[in-house]
Formats: sequence, C-alpha cells, structure tokens
Amino acid sequence: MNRMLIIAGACWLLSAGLSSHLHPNRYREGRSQDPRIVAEANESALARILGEFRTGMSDILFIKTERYLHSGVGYVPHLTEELLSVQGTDQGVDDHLSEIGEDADVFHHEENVETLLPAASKDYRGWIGQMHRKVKPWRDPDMAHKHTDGKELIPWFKMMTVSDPGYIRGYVIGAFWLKRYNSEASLEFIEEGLVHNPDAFQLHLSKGMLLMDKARQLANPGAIQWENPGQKEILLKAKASFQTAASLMYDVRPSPPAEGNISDLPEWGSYQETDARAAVNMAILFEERYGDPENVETLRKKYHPLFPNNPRLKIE
Amino acid sequence: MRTLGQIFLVAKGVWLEAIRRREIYVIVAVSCLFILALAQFRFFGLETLNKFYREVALKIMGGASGLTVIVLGARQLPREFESRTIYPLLARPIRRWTFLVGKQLGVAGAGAFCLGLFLCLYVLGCLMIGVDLYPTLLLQHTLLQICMLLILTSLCFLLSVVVSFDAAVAMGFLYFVVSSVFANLYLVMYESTAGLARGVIVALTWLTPQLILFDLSEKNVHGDVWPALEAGVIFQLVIYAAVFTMIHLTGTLWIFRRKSL
Amino acid sequence: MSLSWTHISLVVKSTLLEVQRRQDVWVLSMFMALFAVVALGARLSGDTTPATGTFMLNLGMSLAVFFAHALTVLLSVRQFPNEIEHRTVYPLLAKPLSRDSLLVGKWLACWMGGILTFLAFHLVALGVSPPAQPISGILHLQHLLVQVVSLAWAAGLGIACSLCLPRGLALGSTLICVYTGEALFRWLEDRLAIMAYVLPRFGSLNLATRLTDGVPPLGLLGMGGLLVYGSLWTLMSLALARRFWIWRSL
Repeated sequence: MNRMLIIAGACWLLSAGLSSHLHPNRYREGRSQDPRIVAEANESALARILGEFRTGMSDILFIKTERYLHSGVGYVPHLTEELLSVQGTDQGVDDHLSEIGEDADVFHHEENVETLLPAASKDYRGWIGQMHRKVKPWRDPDMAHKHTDGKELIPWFKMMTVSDPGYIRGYVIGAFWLKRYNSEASLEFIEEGLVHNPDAFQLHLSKGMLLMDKARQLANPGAIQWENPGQKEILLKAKASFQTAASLMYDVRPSPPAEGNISDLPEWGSYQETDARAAVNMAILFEERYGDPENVETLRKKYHPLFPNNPRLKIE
Repeated sequence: MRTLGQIFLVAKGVWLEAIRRREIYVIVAVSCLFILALAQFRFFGLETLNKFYREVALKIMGGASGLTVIVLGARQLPREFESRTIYPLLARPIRRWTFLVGKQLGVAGAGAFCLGLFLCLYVLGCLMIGVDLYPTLLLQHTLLQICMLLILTSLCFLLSVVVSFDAAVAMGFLYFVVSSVFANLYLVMYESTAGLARGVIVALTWLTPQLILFDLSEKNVHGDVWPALEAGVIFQLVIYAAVFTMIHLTGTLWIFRRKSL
Repeated sequence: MSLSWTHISLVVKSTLLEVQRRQDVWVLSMFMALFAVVALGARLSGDTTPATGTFMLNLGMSLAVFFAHALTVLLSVRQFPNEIEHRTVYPLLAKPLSRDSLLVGKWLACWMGGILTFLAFHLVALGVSPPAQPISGILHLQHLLVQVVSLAWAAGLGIACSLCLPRGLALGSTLICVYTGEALFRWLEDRLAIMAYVLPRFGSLNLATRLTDGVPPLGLLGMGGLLVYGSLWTLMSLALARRFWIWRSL
C-alpha cells in the first residue's frame, strides 16, 4: 500500500513542477479589461438586475468605483473611465479633483443622472420603496451629486491586481489615487505592475509621471528645476521611463483606420490614445532638456507620422 | 407561564444541538478567522483605509449568520420526524405551536448569538486598526439583521415541511443570497411589462419578504456621510419582519397539523 | 488491484439512480432557472448589446462551472460515509464486489453526474444569454474538455477526503480546495512560490473568462499542460482514496 502513497507523492511533485508553467488566464487585452466594454455591460438593464452581484473582478471594481465615489448611492453608471484613466497630465482632471477636500465638496453634473433606486414618484412599491430608500444610501436624482475621493478604492485596486496581474489599468488608476497619499508606495505599485507587464507602455508612462512628482517634492511644490542636482538625478530616470513608454507604444499602436478615429478601434481606446500622446510628448520634452538635439529630431521624425497635428512633433 | 417554560425548553434543545453540530463550528470559526485576518491587512502602509474592512467584514457577518440559521433551521422539523422524537414531545403534552415557536426561538437565538460573536470581533477589529465605528448605525444594522434571521428561520421551517431537506436548504440559501437580485428584477421588469404581468410583479413584491430592507451594511460602510435611521423606520421594519415571521409560522403549523405522524 | 467492469457499471448505475432520487440536481437547477429568469428579464427590457450578451454568457458559464463542481463534491463526499453509516457496504462487498470496483464505480458515477450537470447548465447559459460578441469555437471545446478533467479531479478529491476526514470537514476541505485554490496560488506566487505551486489550482482549468474575453485558444503545449495537470491531480486523489479505502476497517 505504500505504492499508492508513492504514486500520490510523485503525481503531486510533477503537478507542482507543471503548475509553475501554467497560466492560461494570464493575458492582456481581454474584453473584460476594456473599460468601454465593462462600462457598456455595467450600464445595461442586466447589470441593474444583478445589483452588486458579479463574477468578474473588473466588473466588481467598476461597481465599487461608482459606489465609493458617490458615498454608496447607486446611480445609473455615468462616471466615464476616461476621467480616471488620464495620467495626471490632464490639468483639468487635477483641478477637478483638487476641489475634493476632507469635507467633500459638492459639484454639479450638467446632466441629471437617474438613481438605480427610483424616486417615490416612479416607484410602484409604495411603502416598501420608501423603506428601501431609507435603508440604502440614496439621494434624490434632482439633487447635486456628492463625491468623495478615491482613496478608499485603493484596496480594491490592490485586490484587482492580485487577482489579475495583467490588468494594467488597475495599476495605473490605483497608483493615480495612491500618489495623493503615499507617492513612494505609488511608485512601488507601478514597479510591481512592471514585473508582471514589462512591455506595458502605460506603466512606464505612469512611472515617469510619478518620478516627476517625486522630483517636484524635493524643491518648491509644483516646481521642476531642471538643473537642480537632486531633481536631475530623478528626472533622468523619468526620461528613461518616458523613452521606453514611447518606444513600446510605437510597437503596439495600430494603424489608424481609413475612416473614423483610431480611438474607435476595438483594440485601442481614447484612453490609450491619450496615454500614447502623453508618452511621446514627455519623451521629446525630456530629450530636449537632457538629451541631444539630433536625438530630438530623430524622435520627432519617428513619431510625427503617428501624430501629424502635434506641434511638438513639427519637423524642421 | 408553563407554555413559556415549554418554549424555552424546546429552544434549549436547539441550542444544545447547535453546540454539538460541527458544521456550525466550521462556519463560525472560518468567519471569525476571516474577520480578524481582514483587520491585519495593510494596503501600502495607509492606516486610514476604512471602507474595505467594513464592507467585507459586514458581508462575512451577514452571510455566515444567514448560513448558520439556514443549516440549523432547515433540519429541525425533518430530523424530528425522521428520528421520531416528535412523538414523545407532543405527548408531553406540548402543543404544536408551542413546539414550533420554541424551535423558532432556538434557531433564531443561535443565529443571533453567532451574529453577536461576529459583531464583537468586528468591533475589536475596528478598534485595532482605528476604523470609525458609527455605533448607532451598527446597532441598528444588528437589530435589523436579527429581524432578517427571524424571517429566514420561519421561511426555512415552512420550506422544510413542504420539500426535502436538501431542497429546503438550497431554496432558503438561494432566497437569502439573491433577494436583492429579485428586488432589482421586479423593478426592471415592471418598467418593461403591462397588465397582468405587472399585477404578478406587484403581488410578488408584497407577498415575498424583502430581505434587502434589513441590510444597513452599505450605510455603515459609508457612515461618514449617512446618519442613523429614525426610530420610526426601525419600528416599521420590525413590524414587517414580525408579520412575515407569523405568516411563515402559521403556514408551517397548518401543514404540520395535517401531516400524519 | 481487481476490477470488474460489469460490477463497476452496476455501481455507477445504482449511484446515478440514487442521485436522481435525492433531487440534488433539481435543487441546483433552481439556481440555473433563476439565471434563466434574469436573462429573460434582461431580454424583455430590450436593453441588450453584444457586450451585455458577453457579460451574461460569462456569468452563465461561470455558474455552470461553479454548480457542476458543487454537485460533484457534494455527491462524492457522501458516497462512502453514507454506505458505511447505513451498513449497505457489507452486502455490496459480500456480493463479491471488490473494494477497487466499488471505489472506481463510485468515482465514475460522481464524475458522470458532474459532467451531465455541467453540460446541461452550460447549454442553458448558451441558450438564454442574449447574442454575445464572437467566441472561439476551438477555445470553447478546450474549455469543455478541461472541465471534464476538472470534474474528475473534484470527484476523486471528494472521495479521498471523505475516507480520511469526518464528513463535515471533508466537505469543507474539498470545497475550499476547489474554490479558493487558485486565489491562494495568486496571492502566494509572489511571496512563497514553492508553497504556491503545490496548491490545487482548479481555477486554472476554468477557461470561461478567457473564452468570453475573445482571447485566442491555447496552443498544443498549453492545452496539453492543463490536461496533464488535471490528470495528475486526479490520479493522486484516486491513489490516496484507494490507500485510505483498502486499509479502512468496516
């Protein structure tokens, strides 16, 4: 009967050896990782029926983002992920978010957004509906939304990346929220993402942006001093990251379609196009500051066909 | 007085059985471990992340208490019939409704005990990591969860005299887990239907217990924004729970009376 | 090892009859019926796009995997304890029916019950989901194939646990292995790789999300690796089950 134990032990060891090579569910660019598709699915009537019941981590994260930013109130999904996907170079986003302080400020959406729980006038359930609106977080849809910041979402982004290390946007957006509270941890989070996704240009771009923030903090807040020795050491690392980001982006960006926008391609959304432009702009900016004029010209020639209307890429 | 004593004796029997049942220990032990382990999670060295802990811990508490009550409640009556211990009980004499109420008290009491245990661990976890507690909201949530356990217990009794034990557990569990999905389904389908279909939806909404009304966990998670409920609202929900508990127990008693022993 | 295929087929037949009588499958069917109702409700509302269809299809396929494994585990964990408790094992072994035949027969029955449940639920998911985005036919077949292996593994593991642990603990342990092994693996992989690799990874044999994500099918090596992985664990479970069963005093 020891023979059975030996067989069992041998099978276990062999399976352990095989396990290290088995990652059938580790891939990139799946539909569940495309925020447009996730948003479309989660805005449907089906998603309303299911409530918070989901099987996919990206769907769970979408729901949590909506709920947490609205202090638990369930609105028909309207927060676009574009708002959360920008690298922080979009000043509009930073300004917008800087309005949210410790006492959550109120700001108005231009459109009226319905709540998932209907208002009394539209609810057939009478008393049950009234109790439902009392027990659950609920605001009259005619009232302005009350937003909180995304700090409390950070654990969910961490869970997301543990569950799916190939979910690049989880690292990008998680780091975006994290940088407001712990910039070192934010950088470490991106580095962790790069271990699993070394050729993800968005992560290299994020890393560059975070290194820039780190450099800023060494001197007066918000001021980059290109020749400050302390800052320069960090900014050179940022330069390397931006160069890598632009180069990787160049390899993966699809050709624009004959008709329509490249952002409409299923494999390339507007958030990726924004990141691509940012990567190229920052690579050239840093090459102008710390590099060779000839290299600057080489880069301009390389990227100009991709973004012919970009003034920074104007070839002399 | 004598009736109260009989009810308490039957309930005591349920509690003794609950102590002996290892499945309950497994549910309780695993849940306690999860709640305490959750308090040890640190995300990026940030000390002030509250909502993740509150949300996951409260979900575990609610789920484990519900599961305990379903597993315990669904087996009470079938087991008594199978092992024929119902005969000496009813020969005492103990009335059927006394027996039923005693079982209800026993199962719901066991569920409430588990909930209380989890609550203590939850509070301990909150204190350990410096998470805000919102005590009024938390106590209201606990009270409403106990009301929900009462409804669930009586529902499991009703199911256990109508279908087999496995089916009763499955249906009880299904209703518990997806009651919110049902509520959303009614809302969405009401908009898309008319006439008789709408009538059916309205009837289902009022004739089935809406367990979502007893879950204050979301307000607890976002307690920095939401105040506690008014006393009048709590009172109305307690009455709602009592009504459905009575309906289920009456149904069970009616079937119990007609069941040949 | 003494196996008689006639005896094995009889054991399989009687076990499957018992499954049907106990209404286990009908109980789980309630859950899939609810899924069907939700899907039809969504279709009625008219708010269905290919993305929504994919979302629903993924949910249905995931539920099919979940419930098929739940049923397989529930079936397998109670086979031997029930036979021993009700003392029906004695007349069986006196027939003469060898212990090996009984073990293999029970395992096959649980496995087949799981496969039938999985296929039925999978078909329901395909049937009631709104039109979805295109999925790969080859990857679909691959998913079905690896799930067959996964269910064999679950059945073997359930029987092995039931022969060495008390009933409740056996059920709990098997369910924990089936549903949390992959999550534990992912958590441990970066921290303690050696520990991670020895964990049972049922999740790696679930290709439902890969399928609905529109990702290309697995290559020969990848597919072969998964099949071998599942088979090794199944063999290990059965070897342990035999070890515990042969030496069990009745």
